Amino acid sequence: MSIAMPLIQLDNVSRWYGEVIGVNRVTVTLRPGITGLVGPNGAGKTTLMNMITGMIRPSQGTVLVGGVPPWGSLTTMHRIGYCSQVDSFFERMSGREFIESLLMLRGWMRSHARSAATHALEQLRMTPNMNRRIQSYSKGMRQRTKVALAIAHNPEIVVLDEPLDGLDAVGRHEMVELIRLFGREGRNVIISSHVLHEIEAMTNNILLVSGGYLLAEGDVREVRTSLRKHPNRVYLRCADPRAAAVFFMNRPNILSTKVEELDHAVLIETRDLDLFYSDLNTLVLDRGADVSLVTVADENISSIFGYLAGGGDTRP
Amino acid sequence: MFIELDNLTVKYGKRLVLDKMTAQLDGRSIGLLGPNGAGKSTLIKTLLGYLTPVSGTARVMGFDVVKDRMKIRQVIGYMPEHESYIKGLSAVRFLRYMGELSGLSPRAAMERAHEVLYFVGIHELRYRPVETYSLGNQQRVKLAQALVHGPKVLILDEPTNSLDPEGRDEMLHLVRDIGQISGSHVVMCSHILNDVEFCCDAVTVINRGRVVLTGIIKELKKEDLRTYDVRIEGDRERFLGAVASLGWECSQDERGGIRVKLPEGQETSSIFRIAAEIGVQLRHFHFKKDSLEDIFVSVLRESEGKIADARS
Amino acid sequence: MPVHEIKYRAVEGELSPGPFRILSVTKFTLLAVMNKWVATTLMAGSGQLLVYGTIFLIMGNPLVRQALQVTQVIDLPIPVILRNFILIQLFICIIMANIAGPRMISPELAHRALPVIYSRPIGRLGYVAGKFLALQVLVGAVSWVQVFLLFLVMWSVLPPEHLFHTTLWTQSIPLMARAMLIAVLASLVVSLFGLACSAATKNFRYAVVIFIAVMFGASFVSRVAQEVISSNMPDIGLFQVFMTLTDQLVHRVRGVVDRPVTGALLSLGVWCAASLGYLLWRLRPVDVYGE
Repeated sequence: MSIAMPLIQLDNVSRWYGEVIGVNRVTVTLRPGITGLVGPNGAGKTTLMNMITGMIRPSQGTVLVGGVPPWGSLTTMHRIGYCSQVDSFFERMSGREFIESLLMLRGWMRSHARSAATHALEQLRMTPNMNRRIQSYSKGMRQRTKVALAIAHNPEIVVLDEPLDGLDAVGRHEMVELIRLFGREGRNVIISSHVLHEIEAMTNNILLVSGGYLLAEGDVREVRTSLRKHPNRVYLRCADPRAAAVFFMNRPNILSTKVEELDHAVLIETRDLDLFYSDLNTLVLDRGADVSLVTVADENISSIFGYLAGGGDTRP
Repeated sequence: MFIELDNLTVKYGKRLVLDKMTAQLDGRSIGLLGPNGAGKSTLIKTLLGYLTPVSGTARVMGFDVVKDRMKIRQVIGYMPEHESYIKGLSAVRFLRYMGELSGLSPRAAMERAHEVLYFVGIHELRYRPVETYSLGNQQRVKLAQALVHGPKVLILDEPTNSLDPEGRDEMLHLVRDIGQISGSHVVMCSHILNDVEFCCDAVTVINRGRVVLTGIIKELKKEDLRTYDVRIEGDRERFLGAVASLGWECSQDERGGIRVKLPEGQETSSIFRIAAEIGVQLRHFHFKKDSLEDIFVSVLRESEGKIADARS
Repeated sequence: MPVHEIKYRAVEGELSPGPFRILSVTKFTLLAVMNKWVATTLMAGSGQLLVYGTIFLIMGNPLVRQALQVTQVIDLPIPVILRNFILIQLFICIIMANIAGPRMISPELAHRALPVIYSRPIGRLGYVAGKFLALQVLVGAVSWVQVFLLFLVMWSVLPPEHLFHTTLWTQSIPLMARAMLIAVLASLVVSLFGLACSAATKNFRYAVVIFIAVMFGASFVSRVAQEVISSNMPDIGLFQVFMTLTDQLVHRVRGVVDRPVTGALLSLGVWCAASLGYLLWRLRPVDVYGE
């Protein structure tokens, strides 16, 4: 992939359906790499994906993929692969036939289409099942076929809507690895999922939407830092959490401490993370505390969502 | 022991799905794990009495699944993976119906219906027909109908299916609460291992119709207090250099995490000292602990290996 | 105790007996099916009685009779009245079974409520029995209940010198009993069949079509067989069966071929057995997952 990967640019994009708002005034640029698209149901994720893949036009504003609006642009559509949330297959075809036929619809020669379909299905570990009818496929196999279809024509942009749905634990793990591979290859991957820790395993770059609005975009940690009015929460596990709590309460930047007896831990709220860390060093090095775990408890998608949208919860 | 399986063999059509499965499930809440096709849904259908075993026995709360089917159905609650509602009935009416079918008197059913709806978090919505609810609320109603008659054994099949992050969170908290406060035994099937870790104390892993692992999660997850996963804010290269120069084992992963192995005689404070000397912050410092995912993957690999050996 | 402490508690106590649980199926099925559409139909169905009662009342009044110069209506023999009444009622009850029946099981298959219903101590037979009773409430209300009400209306409205009262124990009541029997049988068969059609598909509209198609189809096949093969071929069409029973038991219409009652009853038996058999086969717990 030596050519520059296309950017996806949305500029003041709004889309409504009758009176119902899909998305409202969204401006964002999506770069190569993996972007996690996160939000509650009805937030506008599907609308955004439909606009990026050129299936609908924005009511207002512009969507540009590689500098060109995707709607009606066949060349742009060739560069995009899409895996939808719902199944829509020709059940009587085999997985390979299905992908092959759709590739031929793009104008490919049969032999080329066949090898691309086979290769894509191989990547999705569908080789033993690819010649069976889709009718006989389990949910997991259908899911893999959809993703294979999305990547068969080697697109530069891959949009995946809930690609892990229906897969078992091993399948989920493999799919996460595959998506990370796409990211490393430099493609522009947009993935939407409700299982936040899996998105966190794939990427730090997120796009949070809710109620049709863009709540946050960018690296998880940067977003967290920008939410200045919310003090940081750090989770600390050590031999004597109560003594640690007392120590920290005496420091000016600490807002609160909460001792969790059962876990031998204390949850600390601080206004100044840097100062906290130098205090922590004092605690460990000068006071000799035996610390087994320190982590920032609210630098994950779930907590950020909570701060921005008023839902979710912090779990270290 | 609330579920006992003894050489349970079950066929689904012509296919042998459960192959002399033997297990004793005990404890407050158990996660039932396994790849697709391993036999989880067949096992559930057998426990509910929908499938008859070809040979072997299964007992729930001491009752045999073939002979005492109705007795089992009195004490069991089932939340299926797929959608499940009756068109035209409101949540209250649906739960009253389910309660009465489970043997409650109409008054008791009315009381319990409202009580359980409060517990799962459905409030004014309860008087409207269930087909108008969002998916998340439909899931809650499904959970409610499994609870309405106060069962002693609760079987939940993929309870967080198709829920958004907030919904998943609330559902997982509900399931964990049920395990902890109700005194019922909970069996939760899920493909999302994080969820199982959150809600359950124990796991049972099945593959190809057999049990390949049973155990308490805390015991299965080995903690390695000599190895630490660390994330740095500051000059990573210097930190790595400093650690390496001391002769300690350390490695990096592609997401920027560092793994340091403490040699004998060193305390965790040593890592802090190095960080302080260089002037970097230890943003994340965690002893190495097997994740349930690692355990699961390795157990499956082992069992597949055994099957391959048995064939050759 | 504050509610968050009660939050979840186990339920102790005796299980309610089997028959009550079956009646719960009936109760809630009726509640689910009674939307505006069906309720209106049911009311229209029950309203028949008012219509008939009014007609009788009006006709029973000598002044009205004089005004309308009607002399013959009340003098119709009872068997004729009954025969026509039954045939109308059967027609209406078939329609009612077709309106209400398909809505009883199809939606529960479509939205997969059955796996959750069967996880309770009810069982296939209990479920089918409950649904049957629910459909009986609706279908019976426009069949044998109407016959019974007709009897009451006639008994109260007709003048004492009328043939009805004079031959009460020799003719009227036996005829009435036979009419009731036919109506009950009809109601039974048509309900079971309606439920079977409902269980055959997830879309209740298809069930309506199947119901009509099989009904007409059976009649058609039967008629054709009788014309083409031999007039001794059994009746399998429901219309013919009911006509036969009405003719033989209530009032014979001149020119009708003499067909044995036993054959008709046998046909009904076959319809019932086939419907019930299909229901119990289709509604096996493993098969209701709708995959």
